[in-house]
Amino acid sequence: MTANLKKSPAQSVSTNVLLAMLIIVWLSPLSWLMMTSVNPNPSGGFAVPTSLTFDHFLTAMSGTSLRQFLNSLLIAFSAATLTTILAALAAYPFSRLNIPYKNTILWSLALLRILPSTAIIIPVFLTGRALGLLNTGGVVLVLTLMNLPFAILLLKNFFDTIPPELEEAGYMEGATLRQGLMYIVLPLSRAGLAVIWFMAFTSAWNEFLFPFLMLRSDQAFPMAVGLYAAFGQYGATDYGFLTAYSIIYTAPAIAVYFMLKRNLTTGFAGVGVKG
Amino acid sequence: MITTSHVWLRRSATPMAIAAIPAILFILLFVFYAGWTIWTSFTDLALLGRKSVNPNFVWFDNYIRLVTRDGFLASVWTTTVFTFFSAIVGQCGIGLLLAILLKNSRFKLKSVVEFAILFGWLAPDVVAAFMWNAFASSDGMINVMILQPLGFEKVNLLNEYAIEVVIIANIWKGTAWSYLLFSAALDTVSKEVIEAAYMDGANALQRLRHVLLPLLRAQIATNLLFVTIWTYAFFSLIYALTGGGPGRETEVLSIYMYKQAFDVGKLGYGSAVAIAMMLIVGVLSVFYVRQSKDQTK
Amino acid sequence: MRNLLLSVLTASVASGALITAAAADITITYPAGWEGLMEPAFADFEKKTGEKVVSTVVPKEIDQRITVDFAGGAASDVVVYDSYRTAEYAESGYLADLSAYTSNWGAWDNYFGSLKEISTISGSVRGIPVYTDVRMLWYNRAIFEKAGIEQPWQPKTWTDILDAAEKVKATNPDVDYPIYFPVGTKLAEATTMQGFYMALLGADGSEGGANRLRDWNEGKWIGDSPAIRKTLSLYQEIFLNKELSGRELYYTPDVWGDMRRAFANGEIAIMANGSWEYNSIWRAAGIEKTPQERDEFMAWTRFPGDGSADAPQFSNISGGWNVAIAESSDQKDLAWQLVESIFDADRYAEWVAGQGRPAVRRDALEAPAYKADTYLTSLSPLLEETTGRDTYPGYSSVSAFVQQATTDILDGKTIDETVATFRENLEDEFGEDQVKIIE
Repeated sequence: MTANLKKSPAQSVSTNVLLAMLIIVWLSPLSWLMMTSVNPNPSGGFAVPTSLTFDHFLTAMSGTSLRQFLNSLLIAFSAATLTTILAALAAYPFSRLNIPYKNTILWSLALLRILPSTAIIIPVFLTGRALGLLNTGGVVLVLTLMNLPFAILLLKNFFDTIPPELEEAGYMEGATLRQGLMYIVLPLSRAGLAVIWFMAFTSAWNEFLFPFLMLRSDQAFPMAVGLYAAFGQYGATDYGFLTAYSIIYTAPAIAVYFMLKRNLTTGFAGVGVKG
Repeated sequence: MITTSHVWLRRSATPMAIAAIPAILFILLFVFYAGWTIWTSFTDLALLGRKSVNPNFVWFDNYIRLVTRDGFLASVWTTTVFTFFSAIVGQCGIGLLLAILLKNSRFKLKSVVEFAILFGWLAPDVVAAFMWNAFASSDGMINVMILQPLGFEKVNLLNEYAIEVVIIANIWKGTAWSYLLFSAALDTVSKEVIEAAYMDGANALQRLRHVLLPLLRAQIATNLLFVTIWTYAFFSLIYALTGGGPGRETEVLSIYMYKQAFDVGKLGYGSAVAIAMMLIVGVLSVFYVRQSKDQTK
Repeated sequence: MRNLLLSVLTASVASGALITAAAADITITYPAGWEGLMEPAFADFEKKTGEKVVSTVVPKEIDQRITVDFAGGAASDVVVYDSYRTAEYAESGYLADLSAYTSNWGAWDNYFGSLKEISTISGSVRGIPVYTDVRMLWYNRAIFEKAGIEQPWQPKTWTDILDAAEKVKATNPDVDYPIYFPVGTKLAEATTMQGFYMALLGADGSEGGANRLRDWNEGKWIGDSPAIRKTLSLYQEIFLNKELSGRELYYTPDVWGDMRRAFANGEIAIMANGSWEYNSIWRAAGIEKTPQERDEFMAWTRFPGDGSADAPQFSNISGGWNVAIAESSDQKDLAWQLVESIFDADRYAEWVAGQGRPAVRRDALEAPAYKADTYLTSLSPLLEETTGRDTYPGYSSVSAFVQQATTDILDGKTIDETVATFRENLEDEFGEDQVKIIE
């Protein structure tokens, strides 16, 4: 990167070849997805299409599929936002106050994440029914619950990288706690919050089990459940639809990533600093 | 109990604690669910039938069966192999290597590399399962584009090398996280340090071992913990891709647990498996934390 | 910040509430693919009663979904489920007693006695059967031709099956599956029914439950028997000793679709499977074939016994699906009206024939669409002498243990080890006094 950083040409060529190979290896599983989605005669095997069609994308972006897409957006957006707000409010005191054994507490909480969702689905279902939450709202709440322990841990790590002296200086000049948070901490934490929001978004976007079991009408199913409608257990597997639907299903997470890219890159540095 | 040296923080402790209440309530609910799982692991609660209504308290029967009956220990081994190769060697190792290579390289296609590994990370698990099935099956791309043109017999990779395919699929899927984390961490390493290593004439490997790794120790330790925790409980990609098969070759603990609890209907035994998983990862975590602390002293 | 939090919460909860059924609506849960039977029935019902039907069409794992719904007390008013669960659901008190309704329902007399029996637990009707099935060996005629096997193929013993598969293997090296024989846990109940139980029934006489998983007279599950060992050794022959089957098809992300496409593509020579495959294969493969073209492509033969003295000559076992009303429903009368709409005689007969599924009531057999179907009518003799699963509470666990046992064989465990684990599982689950060993 710098001029005086010397590298022999051979070294750099071999590095580039290595990276090029890596791209090929990483992208090749994608090839079936891409080729089948535009193939007028889609199949489960690998085949290069002889002509192109975008019909599969049109079907996958209308009717039931479109509704499932919107359901997914609603669930993932709400769960991610709720997770981020709650985690930030809890992580900040964890970072600033001397709570005894706080690291042990946080790591033990993170271990909760090991519990497979299948292990707690029964009590989740029962509490959901008791509270009248076997619906989209309940799914959002339970996904928030699943993401919170890790989110708090990561955000606490991030807040630790912001020196408290800044807030102290603000306090000396008469800022209230709220003002200190709004004008000093929040702007500096944008990256950390972006990472948490993004992780919560992708995990909620991916979730199959809770929406599948908790929602009371197929009208409310998100894409993770809807994807299975393309399967062949009761009829023909529609590979064109399946692959187009999959690409549409993957797109939002990637779009969100590139939208938040600048914040995310610095955010990752913050969340991973401490053990 | 809550102490701090800063006056302003002491004054603000109460509102801060109040703001944390919603999150604490959620966490308490989660702890309650975990408590339910622990309680259930000491009973013979079933999904259906008589024992679903009137379960018996069976003390440690479920835990004794974990070690005396076939299945659990084999699954611990499978999960450990899977986690070691896919998360620790694969994701963490390749992620670190990529971060270092791309940091110092003027490689034109850097953003293509990033897009490629990100796609794997962001593709939903079920989609990933379909892609890997289409990729590795007997009429998949590896066979059609590589093995057959080279004159090899077609190999059914998912048949013959299931655990390997699943490990590679998870490396493909998860490396992005480690890469992003290490890449961000490398930004904090000053260029002078790296340059000094070049001037010493140290070769690449030594540079890595003696200069970069010590600097990144904290991040590596944290990341190892993250990926271990995630990978040990990894479920949906494997479940969709192989369902734990052929035979039990890819039956990791999360799948074993699911089958016991939902296919057989033994919620009590399934809960014991889940709790055992937590304990195993808990022990691993303590080990990691110790390691990283000992060596930084 | 707090405002934002509140608005997000209310927004998500409100939007969730919008798509939740109002209390008065009648709810139903049924598997994807049944829309043709259900949707016209809903329209009828809504016109007749003025009530709205809210449906949940489940695209996969409907078994898990319905079981969790029941266990969590949140089942729909009307539920469509795999009939092998009847005993367990009834024991747990999840299914409403329909006897009062069926006794006033003219159509109930049309149902076959054997199927009424399966759905009647201790004198109370718990579900209305929709269709049933029979099981057999399908084979690919072209592959058999090439292998020089005489057609129509009529194997008399298991050895005949293995011989045919070996001939295929020798003459058709491209056929990865000389025989497709359901194995492992991913195919779930299909492994038990299409594979294990079909073999088990033909491996011994029926005395004392010798060829079953349960001895109904003694009221015990069977933990070890010569028939179980013979059945497992058949798996060993197919998958290990003679290597007559690949493994991938039993474990892919889409096990059903992939199996069907493989058969349609000529990658499977013999297939232990069910009567529905005559239609399902072509639907899954997306190929239109007339009955004549199908008959040129494939044929079925009865699944023979192992040839030992007491064993029956052929074996067969049937399953099916039921429509039921949840005990938790507080509008059972209305729910029953919906059930009656679903079983509207003409519509039902036409749908069941279109699905290629054997009907479960006499009037449907007489319907023109059904009578015209030579394939369906050819199944009638099988339907008369078929048997059912051991639908006793606990069966689904036993079935899961069976699937695990076939997995053990695939993993290379010996018969002794496999049977020991199977027996241990049963004893853990039911207690030693509930498990019988046949020497």
